Amino acid sequence: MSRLDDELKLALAREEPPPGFAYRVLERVAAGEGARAGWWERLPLYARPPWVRWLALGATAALLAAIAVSQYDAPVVERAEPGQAQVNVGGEDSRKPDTAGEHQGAVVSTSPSTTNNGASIAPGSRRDDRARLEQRRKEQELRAEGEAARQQLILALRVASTTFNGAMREGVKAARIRPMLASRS
Amino acid sequence: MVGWEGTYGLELRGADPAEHVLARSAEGDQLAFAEIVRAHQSMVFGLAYHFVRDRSLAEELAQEVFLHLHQNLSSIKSPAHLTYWLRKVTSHRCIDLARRRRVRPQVSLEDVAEPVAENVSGDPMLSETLRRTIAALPEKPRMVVILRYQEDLEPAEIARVLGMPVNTVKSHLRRSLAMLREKLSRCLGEVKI
Repeated sequence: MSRLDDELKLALAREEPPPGFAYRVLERVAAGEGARAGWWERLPLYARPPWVRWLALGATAALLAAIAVSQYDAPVVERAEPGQAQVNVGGEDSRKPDTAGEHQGAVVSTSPSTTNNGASIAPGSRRDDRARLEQRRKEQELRAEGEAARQQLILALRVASTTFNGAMREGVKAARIRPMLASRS
Repeated sequence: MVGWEGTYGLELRGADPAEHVLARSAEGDQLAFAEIVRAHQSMVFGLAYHFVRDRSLAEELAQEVFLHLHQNLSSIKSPAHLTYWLRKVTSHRCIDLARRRRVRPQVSLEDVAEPVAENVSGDPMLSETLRRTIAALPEKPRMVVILRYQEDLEPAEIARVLGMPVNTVKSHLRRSLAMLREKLSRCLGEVKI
């Protein structure tokens, strides 16, 4: 062993901390600093290694990409629907636009590949197109039922209104006649 | 320094006192934990002090190491594991702190004053010069030298504590010692160190 080694050992001998060191440590332990932190407090510590940060970054990027793709798909579907409606309305008699049954038939018979303005239809698999058409058909059925119910309600209101007006007229007439009869008697 | 042979040790018959204190401490005995702190405080504080060269900073760092130990007492398997754990945590905390606060550039190797006193063994001036020169080393070589000479660890043990290859430890040691030797030979002249 060289003299440098000896000198280094002397220079780097263990050092005693200031008096009361252990007491101060115990004080901090008693104050709760030594308590094991909950998992929610330890959670940020898990993100300290660089590979975790890269993993988190990758996961976030993948999530954003997935959202972007889903957002990109959604407007295409929306654009396709008016396109279908346009084809249907244009292909059928435009003077009777709200006849749901005709719409239904037209939509079912109109596949994305056979539309005149096919540019507005989203390019997708046949299964997607079939599902979309099915959904559209169901929506139209519901709309047709709603429309029928509305018509029935309007009819019922008209009947009620007519009956009420008749009754009112009869009442007024009776009110006029009653004083005359009273004066005669 | 109060060692393992303190109050708890006297009560024991047959069992390893250090293991007993460790077990009691893991069960939540604060006095046993205080015993552990007293037994290892000079090692932990010494490592921190030689590394950061600031007593208050070294004390803060050593306290944090013991608080961290208190949180992880259940994971300590034996007294030897405890010593290893404390060395490892202290070393890593010191290196982290130095990287965060950039403690190292405080003293440049060239700025270290050269001793003018005679080269007597155990010379406080020479020791101080050595400490200051070591403080000017980069973080990892500095910790390697401190672990080698304060704790008298072999390169393989240092490699395990710092989590680096043994050859890297040896190369850090060789370079650091060459640097120290060169620095000291300038001021100690013909005397062989």
